[in-house]
Amino acid sequence: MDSFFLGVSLFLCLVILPCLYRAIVGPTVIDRMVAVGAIGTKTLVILILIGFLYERVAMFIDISMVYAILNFLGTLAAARYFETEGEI
Amino acid sequence: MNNENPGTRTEPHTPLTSYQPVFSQRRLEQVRHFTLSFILLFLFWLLLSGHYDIFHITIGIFCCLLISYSSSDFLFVHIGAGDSHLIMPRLLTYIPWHLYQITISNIYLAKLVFSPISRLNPQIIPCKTKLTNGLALVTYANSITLTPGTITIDLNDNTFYVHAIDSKVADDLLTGEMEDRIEKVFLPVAHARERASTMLAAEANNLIVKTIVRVFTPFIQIYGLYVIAHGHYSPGGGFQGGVILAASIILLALAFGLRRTMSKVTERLTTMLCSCGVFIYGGIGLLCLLLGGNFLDYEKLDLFLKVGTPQARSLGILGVEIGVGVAVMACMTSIFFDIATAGELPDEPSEMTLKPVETTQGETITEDKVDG
Repeated sequence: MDSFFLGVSLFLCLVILPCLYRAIVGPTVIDRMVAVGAIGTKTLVILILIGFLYERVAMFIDISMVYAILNFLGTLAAARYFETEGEI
Repeated sequence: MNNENPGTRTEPHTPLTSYQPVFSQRRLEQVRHFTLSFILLFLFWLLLSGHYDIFHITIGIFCCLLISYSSSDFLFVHIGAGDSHLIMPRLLTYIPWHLYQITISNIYLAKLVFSPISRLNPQIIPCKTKLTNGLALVTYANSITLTPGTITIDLNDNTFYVHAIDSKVADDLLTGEMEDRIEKVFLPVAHARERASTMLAAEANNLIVKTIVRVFTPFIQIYGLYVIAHGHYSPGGGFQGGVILAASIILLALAFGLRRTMSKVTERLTTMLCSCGVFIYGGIGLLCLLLGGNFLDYEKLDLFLKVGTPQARSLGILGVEIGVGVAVMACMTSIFFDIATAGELPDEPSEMTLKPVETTQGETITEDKVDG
């Protein structure tokens, strides 16, 4: 089972690469925001998979929940910033 | 008092004044919202905690009381407590159906992506809806987004603008089966107007963001308190929990506007909480010093706690964590306010209405126009 989790984590890391490309190159800011959001979602899953690998799922679920909250907050803040052109 | 139990009365809208002149209808509604929020938040706490001894349960009850007191109306703006016990079980029967739909669309999309001939036909379709209740609309919008192939772009005057990747998924959406099911879930209130009673009610703009933030804020706050209270078992502690609590307030400010948040979480309150946190931390440290130990020498607290040295240490650390958490939350919120207003923070609350601190979303623009 460990090798399965490891394989899935590595696969997700590979899938992050195209998103990373879009985040770095992305012609518009919106492209970058969406890319960073997608990377955040994948990181969340990878965190929990790492938890399974180290057999400390309870601990890693706590971390991933904080990550989810901050990811949501960051996307919302960026969207708000660009919607209202610099004012919150 | 039988009012405490939300399940005892089935008709929420009958006037009660002839039986109980002490409780008005509004007051009764508040009590029921408070009780139901408390139950939901406490279940969430039990799910998180994993420590079911009397000490942690007591902390949990205290935290949940605090949060349900401060934000009981957050969860029940669109549906009353009386309707929610009808809606929640129906929602649980809707979720399996929706998961099934997600699976079907997933398989369809996978076929589409891997087929050698490209048949993609992306389009934006307007999709009229008969739902009017805010929570029903948000549930519908999120269901559309969660289903692979369709994404809700905007919600405007009961019309969804949906991006569909293919004609088939667009047709599936336009059959309206999903909408009918959601209508059944929210039947008593699906076509009701907003329950405009609180400062957070009746949002026309950004309905989806506002509703999601409103529903999640109490749970984020409970999570922050859990991180503070369980700092010595799992990752976290005062700093991390404080930051999560501050994040919940920043979320509110982002969704509802800085001014409305600052009318609740005032500069005075954050400054006071900041000092309180430092006072708790320094107070425990000084207490240890007075009892003959070093600064923050928790063992000495046992002299009057009488619970044994390890327990006294644990309690001392918990006290310090609470102090740190409160201080960090207040400081983070304060820093955010300072940055977001670019330092032009009015001293008096009355000045807030004069200065256009926030110029977004119709809600404030009218006031500003009147003023100048």
